[in-house]
Amino acid sequence: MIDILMNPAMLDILLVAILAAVTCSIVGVHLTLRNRAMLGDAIAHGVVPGLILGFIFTGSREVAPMFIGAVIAALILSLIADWLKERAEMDGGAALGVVFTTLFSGGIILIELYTREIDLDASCVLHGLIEFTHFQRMELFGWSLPRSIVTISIALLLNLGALLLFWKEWKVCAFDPSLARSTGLPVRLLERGLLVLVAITSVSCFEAVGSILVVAMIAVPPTIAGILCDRFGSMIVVSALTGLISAVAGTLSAVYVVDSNVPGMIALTSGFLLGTAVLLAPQRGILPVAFRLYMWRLRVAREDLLADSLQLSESDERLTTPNLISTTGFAWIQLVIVGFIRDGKPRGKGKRIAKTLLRKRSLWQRFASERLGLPPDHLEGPAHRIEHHLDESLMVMLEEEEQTGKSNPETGS
Amino acid sequence: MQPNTLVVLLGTTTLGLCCGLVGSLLLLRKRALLADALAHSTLPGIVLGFLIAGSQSYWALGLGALLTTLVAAVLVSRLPILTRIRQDSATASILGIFFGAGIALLSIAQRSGPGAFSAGLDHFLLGQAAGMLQSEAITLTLSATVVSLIMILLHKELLVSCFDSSFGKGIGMSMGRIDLLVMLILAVTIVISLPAVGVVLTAALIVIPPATARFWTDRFNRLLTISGMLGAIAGAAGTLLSSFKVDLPTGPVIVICAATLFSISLVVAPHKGLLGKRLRWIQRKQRREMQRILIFLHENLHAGNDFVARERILAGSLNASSSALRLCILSGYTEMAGTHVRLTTEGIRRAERSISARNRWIQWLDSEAEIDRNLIDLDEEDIEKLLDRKSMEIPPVDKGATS
Repeated sequence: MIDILMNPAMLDILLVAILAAVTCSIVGVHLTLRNRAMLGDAIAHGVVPGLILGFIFTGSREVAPMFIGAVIAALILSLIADWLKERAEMDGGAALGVVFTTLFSGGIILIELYTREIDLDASCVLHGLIEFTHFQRMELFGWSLPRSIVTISIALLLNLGALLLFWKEWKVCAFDPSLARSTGLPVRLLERGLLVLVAITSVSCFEAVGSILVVAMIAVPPTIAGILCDRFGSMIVVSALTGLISAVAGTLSAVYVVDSNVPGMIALTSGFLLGTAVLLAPQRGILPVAFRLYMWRLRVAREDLLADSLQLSESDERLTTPNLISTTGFAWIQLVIVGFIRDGKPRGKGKRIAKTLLRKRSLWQRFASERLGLPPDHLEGPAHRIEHHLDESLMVMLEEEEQTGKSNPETGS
Repeated sequence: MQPNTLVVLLGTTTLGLCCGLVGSLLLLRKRALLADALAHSTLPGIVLGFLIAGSQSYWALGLGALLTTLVAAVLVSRLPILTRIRQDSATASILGIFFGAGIALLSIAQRSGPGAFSAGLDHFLLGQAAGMLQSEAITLTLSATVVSLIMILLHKELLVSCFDSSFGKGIGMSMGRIDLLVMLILAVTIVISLPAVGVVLTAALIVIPPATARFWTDRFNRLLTISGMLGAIAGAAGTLLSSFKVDLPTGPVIVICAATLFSISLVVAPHKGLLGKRLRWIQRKQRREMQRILIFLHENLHAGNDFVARERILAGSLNASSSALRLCILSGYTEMAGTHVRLTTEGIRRAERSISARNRWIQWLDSEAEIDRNLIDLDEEDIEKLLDRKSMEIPPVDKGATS
């Protein structure tokens, strides 16, 4: 760890990766909430003709004209896609796909036609030049700073500023566009402004870190945040944090562990994080959900066993031990260990649970047949399932219902 | 023409056909961008195939690509079901992750692989149609035939799976298996087109022809046919164009051809094209204006003056356009007498018909929609305006009473 901090080139790479990842993660939240996560990928391809035209018109390899060309191309791309979606009534994804692939092809043809002699490598745009961050420097207020750190910091500040300024407005636009329109917000203008922000952000990151990192960071951290969070604010924070973690872990592993491409490893790291979130997210992860479901089934099995054994013990019979390798069997083992069932008969607290359950069952059966007018001979099955879901307050309500039903029988019919 | 052109032509034509057919299935499922994501997710498979096989053989790379593409396809379709990830985010995330993994693997392979992995990223991204071998063209043709055959044989099942999968489940079709089949066909199509046109342009060939065909038809079978044909035409035209000017790479030219076909259809397609829509709108406007002129003349007829000055129609309260008046004369409803206009007998019949229709509409608005008869102004048939006036008519006393 010490030698990383000692090495200024490494520190610069790490810093650029972090800045870019965080910036893209924040922009990505907006896009994800609007079902437009693919816009990042589309812009990554669609800016090519803008870059080339910027180069052709000025004939220089300065950054500014290419940057402006790329931003304009990104804007044109999203505007045409929106226009096709609204006017030509196309599917949004198809409209985007048509436009960006066409722009990309046009860009490739432009490269072949005009810029044969210069070396505009496709892989350079893809990878970016993150490894050379340290060596492209510029002077700012008497400090010598790596250029990409300056540009991405500006993009990040722009993003944060716009986010804080239009926090409420963008939130409403994302979740309820019709509400936004009816309260008189300039929805169209706000969305266009967002597109400008996305265009500026992604283009300023392309040059520094490459399009793979941008595409991955616009899509993956917001997706993770979407699994974990339910609020706009927490989504932004979690998304930025995820971007940060992916950037740090990805950069370090690329340089010190597998000796590979930095943006690629960052994308891969975010993929691992996404996999972890999908599997383990406390609320919606696959494993926690499956676990909760299984616990619930165990509880149902336990209650059923207790009720059955109580009913059998009333006619002086015993519940036989079920097959132990099953949910019911596991529930049986639990009950025996706790001591709720002994010799196939409910004991102590087990007996109380069983009684409550039977009481709930009969309450529900009566309620369904008398109040809901369902045929009584069909109620055994449903009551068997619903009894587990009746909690204390519902039971009290049913009991009161029964009392009032008895006191004035006319309402019951 | 170069000697190889015929082979390339055959290959790209069948490629376009194949992509067009598969793409229409994606378009109807509203998943057009899946093609792009899957095309990108071939990269890790290609590098893995190379690392494992130790050579750049067509089959090793192809199998690897097929494998990762299928994994990506399954992930993209399962993630939105398993968790609260939206379809679009899942597609974009899988694209980013798989492509990033591919790039990471590639830079390892380029350094440590047995023999440098010389086929650089450029070829993977852009393809090299001009360098297509005869064996590749034959593979392409065979695969396209198989894909078309599957589509023809299973077109009923595919139709159901695109439009109403719960109905399909209801009549006992296995929708999961059909979805898997579609993914398999898509993956195979993408993998066989990669060497020729590369990643992005494969996605283009899968997305653009169906989107174009969608302008021309609303029927499934026709969509498939038109889309396949458009793909084939784009492939052939692009290959021929680029063979005339050797400098240009074939793949992008094919895509530009497809995009040209798209823009033409966007404008001229009879039902959904912009031109057709515009024309229908103008026609409707003209017809309404004609109706207004006829009714105006009819009212004058009742008031006793058969002839109405032309200026009174074009200016004044009616303010009709001269083209509408000309249309009235052309269709024989009115006739000119000097500077004055008069209704013909046919025109009188037409005017009476539209007056009675108007009266019936007013009646309905009055009785059923409960809009005040006096507020109905049929010169502005805009329902929105009717509603606006009505809502503004609510007296303030009423508001006070409710609050």
